Amino acid sequence: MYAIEAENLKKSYPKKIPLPFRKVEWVNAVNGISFKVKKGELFGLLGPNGAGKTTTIKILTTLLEPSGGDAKILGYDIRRDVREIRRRINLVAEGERTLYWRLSAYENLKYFARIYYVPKSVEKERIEELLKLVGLWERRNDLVMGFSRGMKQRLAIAKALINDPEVLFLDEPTLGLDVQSAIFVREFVRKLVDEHKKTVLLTTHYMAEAEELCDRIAIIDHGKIIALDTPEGLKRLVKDEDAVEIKVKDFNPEKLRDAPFALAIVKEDPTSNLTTLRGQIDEEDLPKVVEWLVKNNAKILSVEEKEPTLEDVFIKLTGRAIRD
Amino acid sequence: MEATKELRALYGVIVKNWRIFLSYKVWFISDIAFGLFFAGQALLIGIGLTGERNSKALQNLTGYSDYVAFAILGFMVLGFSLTFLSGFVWSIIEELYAGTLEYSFAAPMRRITFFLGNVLLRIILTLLYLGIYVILFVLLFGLSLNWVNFLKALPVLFLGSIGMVGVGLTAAGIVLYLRDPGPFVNVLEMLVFALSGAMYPIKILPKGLQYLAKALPYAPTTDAVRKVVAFGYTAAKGEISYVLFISAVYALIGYLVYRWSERQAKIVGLKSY
Repeated sequence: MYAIEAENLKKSYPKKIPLPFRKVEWVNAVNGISFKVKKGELFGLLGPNGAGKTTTIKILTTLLEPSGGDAKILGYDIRRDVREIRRRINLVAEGERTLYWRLSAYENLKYFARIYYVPKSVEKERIEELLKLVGLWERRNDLVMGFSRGMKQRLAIAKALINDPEVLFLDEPTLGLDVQSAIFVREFVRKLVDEHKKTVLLTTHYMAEAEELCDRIAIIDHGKIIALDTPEGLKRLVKDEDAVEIKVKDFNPEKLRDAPFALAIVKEDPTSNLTTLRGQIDEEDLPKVVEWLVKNNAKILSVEEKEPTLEDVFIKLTGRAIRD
Repeated sequence: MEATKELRALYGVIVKNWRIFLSYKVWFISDIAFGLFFAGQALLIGIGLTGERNSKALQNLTGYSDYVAFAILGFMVLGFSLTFLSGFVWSIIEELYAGTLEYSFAAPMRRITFFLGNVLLRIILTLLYLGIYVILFVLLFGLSLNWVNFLKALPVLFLGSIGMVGVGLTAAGIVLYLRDPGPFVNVLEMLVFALSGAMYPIKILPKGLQYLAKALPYAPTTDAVRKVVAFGYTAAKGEISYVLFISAVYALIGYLVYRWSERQAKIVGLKSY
């Protein structure tokens, strides 16, 4: 039995709230995705903002009903067995306003322990263990409103473990965190899989995070899975092609639409007018690329050959880069 | 076992709300002052217009003449009744604005437990406020009621509460659907107040509004409670039967509307869904 099974999952949203006699247009957010996650696996959904990652998580955590397709969590049907699933899973939602800011860290966990049916006999012990695990035991009586973003996220993760879930859903768990907190969260999530044998499905639009953490990754774009493999397997798609990163100044990115080769913007700094472009360019084609950029008023600052990454896979598959 | 788990979840919701309430201590004073001033002003307007505490017009319309007793009883029933409506709708709105609704809704706890947890604390607070009001009204306005009959009327109030829970669930279902539910709730609360017969007999309303008032559980409950307090159970048989009927109807409507709304919210992707 798989921990998560999604079969041709679809979800569309109305552009306006449907009311009687109001004709509304529906937009596809998830467009027939299928994947399976093994027990004890760390599975990543990687894609740009608006790709359908959060919608997929909401469907799998029973918060949304799919417009089509089927999904099972630990063998339970997401439409039929909602409460059975909810007892066995938990989630960390995107954003920092997901906990009660006017309660202490301890009170927050106590509340969630009760609504997740954690037995009274283990409640105290579980809360203490979790707060120690995320390094917040010393701050347990402090109100959440005084916590940093990183601390709030650590508490959100502790909350997500309160019912000792078999499957954990993490929606952009490191979004907006400082470097130290992001490292803590990544290491912690990996530990949850390796040592505590949890199954984790996480969404991210950070390439490095997906590459570093996940056992397998599904690249999702416009509500569809466009590739699914291990990080190494995905990178093999661009193994034989050189990745080139070119830093340019005063370049109008609009011109890329007419470019005769696949270059994508990976970074833009409007204040200094600097743009970083990346793509798979053969050695013999590189002079032509540089010539084309110069012809389009770009001042070349640097040209570097890089190890292929998931970014290159995404560029190869979509012609675009995943950007923050 | 299942019931024990649900009760613990209910207790969890109540404790959580109590802790949050304690972090807004000034609201306690503001809530009491607001209710007191509101009822006090309505009483003074009534007395000012009729020129005396006992009104012949009121006697003709309702059968009892003491406006102070009439209005305070109505105010207390209304205060209690509105707790259900506001408890249901504001529990969604407040959690939504705080950003915490999604986590609560993603838990295995039943939805009714979430709502009742929110409503129960409000009821406890309302009863506390009402206790304070009674003392103040006795001291300030010389309120005199048959307190034994008042206690006897409580089962009627609880019977009416079933219908009010139904209205609360219906309103909560609508709130799930609205982009900005605050104005809707304000209008609804004012409408319920206007049609509750709390401060004036509904017989003075235009015919259409009288029917509307009778179609909601608030005015019939207020009337039944008043009649039991003034004349006892036997005289109020008709009113109590109607409260029983309308409560059953609203309980069913509330259940169906909320179930439908939540299903729609999951399909359409509303609020935290």
